[in-house]
Amino acid sequence: MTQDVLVTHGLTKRYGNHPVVDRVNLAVERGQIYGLVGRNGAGKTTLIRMVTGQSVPSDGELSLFGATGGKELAAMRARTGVMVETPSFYPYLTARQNLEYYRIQRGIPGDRVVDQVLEEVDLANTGKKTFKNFSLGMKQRMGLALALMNRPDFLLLDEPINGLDPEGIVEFRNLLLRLNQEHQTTILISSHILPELANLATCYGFIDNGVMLEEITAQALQEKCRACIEVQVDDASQAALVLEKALGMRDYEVLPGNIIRLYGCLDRPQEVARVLVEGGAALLSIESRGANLEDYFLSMIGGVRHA
Amino acid sequence: MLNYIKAELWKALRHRIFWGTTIFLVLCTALFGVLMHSADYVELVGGVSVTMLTGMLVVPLLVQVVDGGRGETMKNEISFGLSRGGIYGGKLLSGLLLGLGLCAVLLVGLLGICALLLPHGDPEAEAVALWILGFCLLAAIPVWCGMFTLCHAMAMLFPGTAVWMTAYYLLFFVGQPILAALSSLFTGGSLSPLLQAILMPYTLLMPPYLSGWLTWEYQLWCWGIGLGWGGASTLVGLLWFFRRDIR
Repeated sequence: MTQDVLVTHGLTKRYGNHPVVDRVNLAVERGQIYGLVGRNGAGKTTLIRMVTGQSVPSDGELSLFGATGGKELAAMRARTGVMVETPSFYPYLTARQNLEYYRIQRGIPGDRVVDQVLEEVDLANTGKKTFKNFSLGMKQRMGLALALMNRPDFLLLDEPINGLDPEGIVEFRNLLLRLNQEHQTTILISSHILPELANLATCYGFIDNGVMLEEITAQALQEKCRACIEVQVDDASQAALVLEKALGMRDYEVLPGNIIRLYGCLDRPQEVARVLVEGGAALLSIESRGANLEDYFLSMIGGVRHA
Repeated sequence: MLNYIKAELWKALRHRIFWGTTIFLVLCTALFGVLMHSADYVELVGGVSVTMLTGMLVVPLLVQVVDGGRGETMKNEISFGLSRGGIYGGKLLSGLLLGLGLCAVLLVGLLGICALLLPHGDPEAEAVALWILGFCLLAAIPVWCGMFTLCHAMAMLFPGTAVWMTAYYLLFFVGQPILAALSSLFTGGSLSPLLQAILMPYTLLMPPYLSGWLTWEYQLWCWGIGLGWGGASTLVGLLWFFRRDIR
């Protein structure tokens, strides 16, 4: 049985009359790695900020671990780890001091937890270096350390790999996968780096202009993006018989509008066309298709705009 | 809330501004003690009772110790599920504790050291002087807390340290006197002492008041006006803080 960690119904944020997030319905199930995909200014960060309580929704509802408001919701937020935009800490304190401050503030018992989490994000050896002297990558790691300090059940990460070097990105990905697999930590992650997101996410939400365009599992997306030859004919059932007989084709699907998707003979579209014409089918169109996450997203928002 | 205050105090003790302010105040206190060196202990105690006003001027520095950087780091605390009221109140109480603690350390230090170093005269006169000092201190505490609360509200409302610090000093040096002057226009040029005290609470700690007002009525004014400024500014600060987005 699945359990929803986060559910939103009609969640809206307006600045004046302009909706930045517009009636978003979203559901993140326990154990998922949910990739939130959208352009700059699409509403990803605002959506995450409403979930974390940093921004007050103009309308709609959100439920976190089943809690919908008041003290219950605040208590559930204590089960989350959050990193939104550039991590912020006190510039005159060291990494250890900053985390110790938050450990005391949150009442997390045992100061070993600070050392453990600093080791996890590879900041254990920063010594007396204060936060103001950290590189962007180190600041990102600090943000992650804070998010992990309370061993959260739900991690919300907004553009977390900005500023990380390639090695850092791989370490970060492995850490998230480990948390998800070993501790069943649910993760919601937004990123512009879609190939990286594709390495992690088990579910996607596509958002544009504040509107949730689609929620889809990684498996369903893979199916949709699977490489194929798509043909449109006048009679799909007759054409299918021709393809089975002439090419031994079994791996195909017939879609509405007399469209057939063929998952075999991908390197021989000319042969497919010839067989169909010789078999008496009226071939209206034929094209090779296949997409990755980036192509799928761009096709969804209508092509490349200002990314 | 207790954890929040503990963390704020832990952080404050690692802040350069806190130690800078403390060293500055210790030096001022030492200088005051040296200048009073020719006097006896009774005169020193009497002198201390008219220094309460200076506390108003260091309010922003102490507010900066607890509120400094909050513009950037507040999002962490909100995300932890800490209530906005708890954060506002936690920072306020931490600052008040810090300020009152610092005041106690300086006062006890000065009085203790001078009690050892300065000549003593009439014990009865010393007891009266100490009683007057205690009375002045009792009155100064709510007025100081009221102004601290006002400054904290400004720090929570206005973005940027320079903005809220300027706003506090402008209100203190210019805004409140202007309010008093405007009020006097509506009262036919004469401003009642009570109205003046309400609009310019720091005047309660100035010698003209202290010399003739060592009564329980004066004490009541100080507590009422200090708590009034504190309550009103906290109400406005909280109302605003509950509605605003944290970035």
